[in-house]
Amino acid sequence: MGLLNFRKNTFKHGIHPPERKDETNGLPIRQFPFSPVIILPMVQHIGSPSEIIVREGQEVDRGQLLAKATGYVSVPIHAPISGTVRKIANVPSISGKMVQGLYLEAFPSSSQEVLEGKPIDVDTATQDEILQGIQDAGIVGLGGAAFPTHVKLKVPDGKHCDVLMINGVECEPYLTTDHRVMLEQAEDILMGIKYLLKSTGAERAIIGIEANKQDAADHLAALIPKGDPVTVEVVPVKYPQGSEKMLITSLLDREVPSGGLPIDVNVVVVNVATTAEIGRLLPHGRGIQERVVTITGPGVKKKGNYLIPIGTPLRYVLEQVGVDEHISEVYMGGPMMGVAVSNLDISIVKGTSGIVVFTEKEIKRDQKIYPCIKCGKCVDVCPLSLNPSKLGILAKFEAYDKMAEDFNLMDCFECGSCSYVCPSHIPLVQYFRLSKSIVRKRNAAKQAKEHAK
Amino acid sequence: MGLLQFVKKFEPSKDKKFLHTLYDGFFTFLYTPDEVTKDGVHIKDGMDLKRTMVIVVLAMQFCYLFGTFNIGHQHFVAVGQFTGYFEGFHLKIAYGLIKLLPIYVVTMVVGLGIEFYFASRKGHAIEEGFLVTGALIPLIMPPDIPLLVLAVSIVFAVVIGKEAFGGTGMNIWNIALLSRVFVFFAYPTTISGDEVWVAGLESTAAGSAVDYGWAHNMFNYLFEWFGWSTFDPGGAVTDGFTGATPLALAYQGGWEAVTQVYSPTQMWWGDIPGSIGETSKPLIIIGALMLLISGIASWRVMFGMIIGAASVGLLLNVWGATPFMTVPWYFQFYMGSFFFAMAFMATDPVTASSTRKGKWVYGFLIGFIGLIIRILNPAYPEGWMLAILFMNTFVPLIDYMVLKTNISKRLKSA
Repeated sequence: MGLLNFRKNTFKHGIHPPERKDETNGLPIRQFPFSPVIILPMVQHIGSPSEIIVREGQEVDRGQLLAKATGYVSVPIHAPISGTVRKIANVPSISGKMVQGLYLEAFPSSSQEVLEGKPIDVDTATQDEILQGIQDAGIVGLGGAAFPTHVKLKVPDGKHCDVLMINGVECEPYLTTDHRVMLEQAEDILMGIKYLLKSTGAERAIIGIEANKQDAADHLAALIPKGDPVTVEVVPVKYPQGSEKMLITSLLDREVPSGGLPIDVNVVVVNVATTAEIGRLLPHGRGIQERVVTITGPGVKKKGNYLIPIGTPLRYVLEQVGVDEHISEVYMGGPMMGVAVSNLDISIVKGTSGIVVFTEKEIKRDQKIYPCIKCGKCVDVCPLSLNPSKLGILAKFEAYDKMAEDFNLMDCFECGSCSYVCPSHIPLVQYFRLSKSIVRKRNAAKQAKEHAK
Repeated sequence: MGLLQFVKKFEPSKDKKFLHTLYDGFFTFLYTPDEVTKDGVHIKDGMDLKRTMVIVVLAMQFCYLFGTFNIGHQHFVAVGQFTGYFEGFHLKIAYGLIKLLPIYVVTMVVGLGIEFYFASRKGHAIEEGFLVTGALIPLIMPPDIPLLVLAVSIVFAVVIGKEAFGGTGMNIWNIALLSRVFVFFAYPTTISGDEVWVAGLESTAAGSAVDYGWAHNMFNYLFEWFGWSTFDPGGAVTDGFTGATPLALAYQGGWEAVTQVYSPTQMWWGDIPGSIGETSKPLIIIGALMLLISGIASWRVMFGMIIGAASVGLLLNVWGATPFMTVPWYFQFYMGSFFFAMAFMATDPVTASSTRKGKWVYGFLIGFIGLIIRILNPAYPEGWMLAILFMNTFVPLIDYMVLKTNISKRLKSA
């Protein structure tokens, strides 16, 4: 295997978990019913929380601004439905914490027309106007990270971007959101690429798609007008190819430096669903109100890809699709990087790409943790060539600083390949997630101390 | 399901620490516990540690089978009876079992006893790691090893080599080799010289009597009842028998001295005196293939070792200063325990390097150093044990260096 590794169009290491995508990848996107109550947390993105600008009891129209961005790394939130602001209070969030948010009660009979704002024309708008438009539309990375897209697109002074990469890899098992978006919203994607090319100043765009979505690749390639600097490239199926850094290595054979960002190798990577959303919203000046979510897993009766208003409570979603009576775990995101929800009262947020429901039978697993025997399986699969086995042992002894300084803990992007292969069932990625947050806190404390001097 | 319920009836309460440890150890060997995942990565690869260990132990069984036969065969060759392979086959197996079983039982009782003691002391479930180590130890001992010496060496290896470092997976040196190296330095007469590699000889001088004990007499009753040949109490070492291993002969007189006593085919198939499990190369290779196909052992370590040993063999062929150096490099693989060390010792995951490049370096240097020790040092007739333990020490350094080069490559590309 390693000996014959001449092929360059993929990254080193990685794993092949079961894909389980065929249950939903043939099902077209369907509009989900409106929930009578919408719960909107103000923290749906990475960065500072949005600030509510409506008051309790106020009637709002679909698409109306509910909360404005606070600062550069922040985005506004729009009303996903027409209704009344019932309450402004703390609402449960996916992280388990209560965060500020609001409850919105839908008008029982409303046409749910969408408010339009100031359209941004791709041909006449300037670079800054497009970036502002993207922020105003409330767009964040829809692949799951939920990082504000306009921040990512802003090329810092002294750097330049030559390739815009559209990420349609979707390597996470079970999820088919991006696959359906590419098949059904291809025009929006191509429109979005126009906006993105202009705002980043990139010379060309590559749409990277994994080989298990050949139909989507063919469909997109056929629609690209002749002469456009856009190409579609198919890469072999491997997890975690959907990670920015891995995709850049796969397609361009450039390696993002340790601790760096894609722009350090002159690339900007945007998720394909985000691109489609930009292409759909900006010409009308609208804000984001709904997103495509794959609802699947052995515990779901009506599996499918649904267009769900943001803020729809998870409990309502599960009631509508029908679930097995023996469900035991509900994951937001995929089974590799997603989180098991602790509370069904949380709602669909901008970063929710999928909901996977497992029954008791499916996740019955030997949970005994054996000692690490340093078999090196995790080292073999780590896409960043770290040493998870060593890091795992250090984490057990709480040597967090050593992990960060000597073993490059902070490069880990928590793909979970190490936990997947570990024959001793050591929860490696969970250790690293915890260790990283501890290191981050310590560093912040250290900086604050130095600041105070 | 009836059996499961039956077994579960015997589950002691959790506060009876020792009993629960014991129960849990055997229960999980039979069944997968019914606990479920709670967080994190929600799907898992099917391979798990217990399956890994079972495959390793299975891969060793060919060596056990042949070892049992070879103990008896070498004994009877020394005595001059039943010199054909299949003559007196039942006697050879019986003789081998009488030697091997006590060694195996002592290893397991002592090793698992310590394991149980530490597990219940530390309050965790028993770690089955010793099942693999314990299966390896008898294979690398001479057939005549005194049981007390064996027991002491295992206590040393497990307590100092493993538990002192923090238990399974935390040891720096290969535990099985540590027990052998302990015997080697503390009781050199039991593991070096010509007499120890053939079982049941007090001396290799011609005419020395061989006596059999009560166990042999019991087998004699059985064999008499079947009307088969029996152990002859009057046996004696034949004239001209020395018991010297191929390596000892090669050191004295090069390849010619070896081939006067043993043919290459004989050495390849394992009809030579030596440690219990090391002699038959084809059977070890079958075990090695099992480990490679199941992905447990690393082919990088194995090939690294072959390349390392071959390169030293070639270099010394060119030099040719002593008789041993003139032995053609490919015949070096016929003698001694190269394949056993390669298949089962160097590939021990805990003490081997875990990075890909590190595995090449680690394997290559073992092959390199091991053959140098074998050929250049008269005091140590075989070098793999020391070479592997030596390289075990450097594994953390190798891995660290490989990791740093990977990271710096990524830094440079900026």
